[in-house]
Amino acid sequence: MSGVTTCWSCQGPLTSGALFCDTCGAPSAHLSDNPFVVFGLSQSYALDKQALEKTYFALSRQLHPDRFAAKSPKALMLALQHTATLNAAYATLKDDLNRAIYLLRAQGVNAFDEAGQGSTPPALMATSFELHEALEDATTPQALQSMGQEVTTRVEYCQKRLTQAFAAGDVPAATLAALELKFLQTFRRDWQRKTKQMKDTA
Amino acid sequence: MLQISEPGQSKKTRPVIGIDLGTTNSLVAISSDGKTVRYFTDEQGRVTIPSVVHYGEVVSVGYDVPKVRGIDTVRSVKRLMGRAADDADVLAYLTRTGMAVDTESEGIVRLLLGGKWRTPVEVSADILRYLKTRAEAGLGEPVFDAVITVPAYFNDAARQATKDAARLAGLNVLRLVNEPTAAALAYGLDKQAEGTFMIYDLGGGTFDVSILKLTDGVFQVLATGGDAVLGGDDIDAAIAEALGEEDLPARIQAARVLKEKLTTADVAEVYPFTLTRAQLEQAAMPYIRRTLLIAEEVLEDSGISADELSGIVLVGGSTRMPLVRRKVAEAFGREPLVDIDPDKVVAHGAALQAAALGGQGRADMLLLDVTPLSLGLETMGGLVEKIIPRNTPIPITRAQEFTTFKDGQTGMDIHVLQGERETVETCRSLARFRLSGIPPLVAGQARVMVMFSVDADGILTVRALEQTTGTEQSVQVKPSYGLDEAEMIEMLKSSITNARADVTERMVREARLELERALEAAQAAFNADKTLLSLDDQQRLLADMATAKQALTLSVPDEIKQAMETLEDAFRTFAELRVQEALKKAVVGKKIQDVANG
Amino acid sequence: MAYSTKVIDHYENPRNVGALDKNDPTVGTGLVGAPACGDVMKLQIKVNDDGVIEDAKFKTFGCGSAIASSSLATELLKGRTLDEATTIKNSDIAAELALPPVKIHCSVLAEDAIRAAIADYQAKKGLKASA
Repeated sequence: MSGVTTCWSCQGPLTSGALFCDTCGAPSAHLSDNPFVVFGLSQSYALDKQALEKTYFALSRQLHPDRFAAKSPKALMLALQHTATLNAAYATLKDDLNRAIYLLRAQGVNAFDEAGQGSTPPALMATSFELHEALEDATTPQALQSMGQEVTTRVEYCQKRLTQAFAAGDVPAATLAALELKFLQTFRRDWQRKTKQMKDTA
Repeated sequence: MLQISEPGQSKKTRPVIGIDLGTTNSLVAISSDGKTVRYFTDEQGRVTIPSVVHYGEVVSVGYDVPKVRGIDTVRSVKRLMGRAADDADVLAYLTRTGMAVDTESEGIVRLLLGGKWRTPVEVSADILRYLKTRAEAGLGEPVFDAVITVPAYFNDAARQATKDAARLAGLNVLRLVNEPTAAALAYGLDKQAEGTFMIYDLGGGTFDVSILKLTDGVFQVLATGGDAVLGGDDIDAAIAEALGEEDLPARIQAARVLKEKLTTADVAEVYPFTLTRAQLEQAAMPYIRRTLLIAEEVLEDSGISADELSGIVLVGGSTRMPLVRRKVAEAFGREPLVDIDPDKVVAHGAALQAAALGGQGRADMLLLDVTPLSLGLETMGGLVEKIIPRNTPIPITRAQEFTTFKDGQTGMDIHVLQGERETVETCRSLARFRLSGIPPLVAGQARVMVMFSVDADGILTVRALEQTTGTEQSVQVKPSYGLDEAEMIEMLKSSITNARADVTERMVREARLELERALEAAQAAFNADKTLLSLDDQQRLLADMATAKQALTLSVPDEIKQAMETLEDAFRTFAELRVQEALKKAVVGKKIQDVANG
Repeated sequence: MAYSTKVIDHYENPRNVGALDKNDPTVGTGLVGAPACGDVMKLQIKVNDDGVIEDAKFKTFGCGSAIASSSLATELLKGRTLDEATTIKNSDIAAELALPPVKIHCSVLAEDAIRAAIADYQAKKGLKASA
């Protein structure tokens, strides 16, 4: 039988998954570490970002440790933990790539794990490598700018592929798109660094 | 005399004060309704108290400090908080002020004041104690709880130091609030504003700039930045340089007065010096330029453009300079808002937050802040791996797995750092600890999980856990040049609020809060399901609750805890009944298959 | 040399950065990537007739640790035979040393790159032999 656990504070019944005890209002001892569960969303890639933010604020209002500053230290500690979980969940859901990787991992894809090296297609690595080398060779702001535009276009295209792949339930296609986005993200970081350097020394 | 809070001061009536502990001036205020703010004054009715302390026969603070400038008077001690003795900024401070420092001290800054070596934490505690006294005089009752503001750009060490100072002063810090956020709070609630705002906060010693989004009472920091050693004091020093070469402290004193006069005049005189507005602006411009650069970077970090801002708020005495207003307006294309007194706005916000934490403020108001500096650890000898990047919303916990470098390596050195650069030398070292007991394996096989947790005050705790054996080590990051617990206790012993009172007060308070919680829970459970009990049983539980309630007046933590446990024992059977009942309700009417499938 | 100065040196002054001729039959090229961090690494070895790696070059784009790892790896490769290279590990005795942690993917990335370069070389040789 599921659905009912015990509240740590009043020891009475607590519907599992509830944030707070219906009876005494104490925060639940457990909060899921699945960001979709935390936000009450179905586990899918498509997401309404505005609704997400609203939910984030609503949940923060209930869980934030500041709400418990003058309350029992046990409740305060739970509030602190849960808010940390909430913040991590929000960061995962809000960012398209993070959300995609989370969903892929849940499907058993381990390409993004620390030790998951072997699964990146050689073509993707070659392209990424070439982009980086081109960045190294770029010497003018114009060259950097056009490179930045090219990458932005690629990123947009990748995001579209990613959305379509998830919609179609095509895990391999989604994995490929997410991998490409990941490498493009790293490239973008280096591109920003070089652009800033060039601006500062101008 | 021991000062233990009276039980009548339950969480509903215990006052919570808001304190702006500034470099140049400090203020203390309170809000009983979450809307209006009352500032506490000194005996002469003055609200802004100079952050100056004199150590003579007695310790005097603020306006009470004797007018004669001497070596036993210390100002701008905030500049030293959380810093090591060999810090470049500490050395600059010492040069400007001519103060003597303990050269024997290992890392901790100790100033010679009134014939004794004192740490910046103790000096700050004296200021806080003074403010506490003023608040108590104004309220006519003792005060224990406070919200204290810190620069958003204050690092972990400086935040710890501030909390330590509060503890020495007999104050329980409910929350450290970042100064720009507090200012935004004052503006937002005061002006009913919504939108995205830049808070530009230039004080005596620190510069902070934050981009905040206000929606429906939620104050969300999008990005923050600053410089913890950039403020009016630096501008004063630059002016002083232009004034001459002798008696630096005298020139700095004159510079300060000249600068203030030039807010409204074009020429000012403080014998034997004369200064024009143009000269002032020339001296100040490099610093203002730096603040604008930082502000631009923070704006970029936030992802908001200058046009998208709904307003720019100026905070801090130094923003009174016409130059600042002009340059900020130029840089971001709009006139900054200056409605609320820039000296008072931070204390105003602190008081509002204090009211909220104490249960008096608006129920829907919320501050969502971020960590200002990236936090990481040393990897592979000399490199820094960021675990929590700057501008991450807090509280937050992030974990990352690491492994060993050499075959058979059984120990791991966890070196925690704060900063944006890639190497250890270019970041600030926060703490170090060792994890031993890693099983000897081939290099790269071991799995050590390192967890960084930042709380709502922006203070970091680090845990390292070896996955196969479960060996664990953790450290609440306390910098090596801060006060350790033993020194704290020593200091508490010798201050008015003594060590025993501090510890006991804390334990009594916590025990009472837990008992109150247990009582509320019991009452709620009773109200919900008393019909499950016979009248006799109901009477018994009511009596148990009444007995437990009396324990709130006790002042021995263990006795209070015992009362709570007795109450919980008394309610156990009833609680089980309630759970049974709930299970029944969940099952009744459902088909067997549905129940079996869970 | 002290442990930490050696590694930081590899980050600030990486050795063996560059490229060998990909089309040279005695050169093996390995290109690997780590999605965890978005790092890409190219490692190349030049093998002489005795099966000894006489030169090694790398190019890494990514985090500092990855750059330092690849620099270290290429140092260790030079002068070794192909067989020794496949089992390359940091086998100094650690004693009771407590050392800073290592990023997992960095410690694996270099090995993968070496393996890929060797495989490439052997494939080239294999094809040549059967031609």
